[in-house]
Amino acid sequence: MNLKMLAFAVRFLQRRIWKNIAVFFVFWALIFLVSSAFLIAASIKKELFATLEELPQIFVQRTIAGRLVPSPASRIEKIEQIAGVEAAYGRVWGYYYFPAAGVNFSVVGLDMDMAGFTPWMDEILASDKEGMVVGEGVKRVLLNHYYKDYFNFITPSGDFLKVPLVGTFPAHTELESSDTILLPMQVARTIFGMPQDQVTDIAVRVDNPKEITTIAAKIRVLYPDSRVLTRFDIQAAYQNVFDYKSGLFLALMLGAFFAFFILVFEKMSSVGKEERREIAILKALGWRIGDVLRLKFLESFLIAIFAYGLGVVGAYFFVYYLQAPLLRNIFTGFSVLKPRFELIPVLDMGLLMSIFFATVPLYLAATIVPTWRSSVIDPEEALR
Amino acid sequence: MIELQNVSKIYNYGTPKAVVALEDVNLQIEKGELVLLMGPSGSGKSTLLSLIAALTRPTKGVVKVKNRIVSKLPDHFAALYRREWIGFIFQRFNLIEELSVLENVLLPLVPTSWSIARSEERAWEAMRRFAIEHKAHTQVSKLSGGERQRVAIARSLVLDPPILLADEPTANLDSALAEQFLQLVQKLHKQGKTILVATHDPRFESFGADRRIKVEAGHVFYA
Ligand SMILES: Nc1ncnc2c1ncn2[C@@H]1O[C@H](COP(=O)(O)OP(=O)(O)O)[C@@H](O)[C@H]1O
Ligand SMILES: [Mg+2]
Repeated sequence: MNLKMLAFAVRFLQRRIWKNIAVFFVFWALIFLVSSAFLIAASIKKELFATLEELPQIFVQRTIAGRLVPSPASRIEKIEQIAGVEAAYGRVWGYYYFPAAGVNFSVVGLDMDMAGFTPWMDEILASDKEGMVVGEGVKRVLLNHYYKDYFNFITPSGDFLKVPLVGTFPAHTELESSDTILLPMQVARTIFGMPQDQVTDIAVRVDNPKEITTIAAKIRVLYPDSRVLTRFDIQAAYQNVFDYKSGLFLALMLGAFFAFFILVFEKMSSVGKEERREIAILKALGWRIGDVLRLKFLESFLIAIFAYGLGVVGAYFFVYYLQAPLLRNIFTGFSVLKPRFELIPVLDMGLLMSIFFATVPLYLAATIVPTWRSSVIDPEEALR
Repeated sequence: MIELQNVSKIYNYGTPKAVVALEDVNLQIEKGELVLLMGPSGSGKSTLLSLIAALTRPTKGVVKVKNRIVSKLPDHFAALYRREWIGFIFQRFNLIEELSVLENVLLPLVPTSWSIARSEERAWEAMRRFAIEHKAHTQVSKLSGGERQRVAIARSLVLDPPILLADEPTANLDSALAEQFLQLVQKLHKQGKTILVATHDPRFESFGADRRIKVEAGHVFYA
């Protein structure tokens, strides 16, 4: 490459500094917004799938007339007898509505039987505490309503059930668990008014992950009224919710791109009279069309590459250092508890490349095409 | 050196706005000649210079330089031809106002394969030759008319082309500066450059040119 040309490209940019700063800023804002959006999306996706890893491999629920109902506890043993099943556990859980805050808590009953499902559950079970352990989100809501070390549940019979708060659990799967309350199985039964011989659903662990689908099929045959969900089904469901939120983002992105296209179009349709004269001068001085294009290309490329670079760096800073204020709400927001969670940095080269190729070449073309158009006419015309 | 054969130039040819700028012009200029193109405004002088510099193409006829037809060169080669053969001083100088003197003089060197150091050396040499090197880093927009003209001359000659074309070079200059320019042209003439000056400036009346050519309404007459 010609260094003289590069030096002159910089000088030419300096001449119309304010216009160029304006173009740079719009470009930068586009890259920043689009990158931020996709980084948040990528992080949340990562978080969701990390959560997924901790789920039991198979859930068995029972439906009657299409409605979910508790399952008889006797089924646990039957399922455990299926070849390839390592263990099956009855779970008691449900949503508990807290009217004062207008939020739902996920209340999950724990049993020593359930050891080994997730690491943090093990910790809590081992500590042998009586009472409830809650997620960060729950803790905040309770504090806001002056419940510092206990909470009063209201049972189906209308009585208060006072449960002491004995701890909060670790935050590595925050997205999922921030609104969760863990408490002894027996207490959960009381809160939901569930008899001893029933469970909400049954979690199944299998010896060989490859057999998940086969075993799920066997359970379906064994209990035709059962709804059997595998980890893959849940994964798909997550994906759906996620895609829906991504759709909202897409709408936002369309707005950003629209602004960008206006900028590009503006550039496309106008090479100023002054600029045409300049191109003619250069040509009269012995510049070839290719030389003129190279100069203009470098000018645009400098703007584009800096806008892109700083846009991406800015997005990383905004999303992971500042934790994406405002923007993150589109994804997580309006979920019941507005759980607080940490966006975990993702370095997705494919994503960064896609953003690059969706914007930079477009902008370059938008500057080169009109330059080319005005540099193929006789310079004599523009010099008069 | 320069030869026009039956050259016509019609602007907006084939449209209702067609303007005949030159009609059936035949002209021959020898190497090292200093020629004045005299004629009123609108007579076709600028058009003639543009045709020689291959900045535009004739509607009819051919322009030859050193026996090669330049009026049909594709754009790429027309640019290379200008770079090698032509120094052009425009009526309004056509400098780039926001750049410095040095940068303006460097412009013709930018697309060449010369190194930065060698290019700058060449630019400084040209600025010294035309006594503008003390303003090398001054922005052109801050220069006086005489200084601008010297920048324009330095820029047109920085690649040392054998042909110099000047379009109304004294139109915006006072008498002293015009006189200075005339002397400069004489000096370049002595150095062997082939020079065409288009002008309707009466100060050129007593100027010692090899030849005067009258241009009137698109026709040339030898004086
Ligand atoms: N690009 C153009 N389009 C239309 N008419 C033009 C153009 N350039 C020059 N002309 C016309 O051609 C004639 C000759 O112009 P020009 O060569 O500039 O004369 P001079 O330099 O002697 O003043 C004039 O009538 C002018 O209006
Ligand atoms: Mg003229």
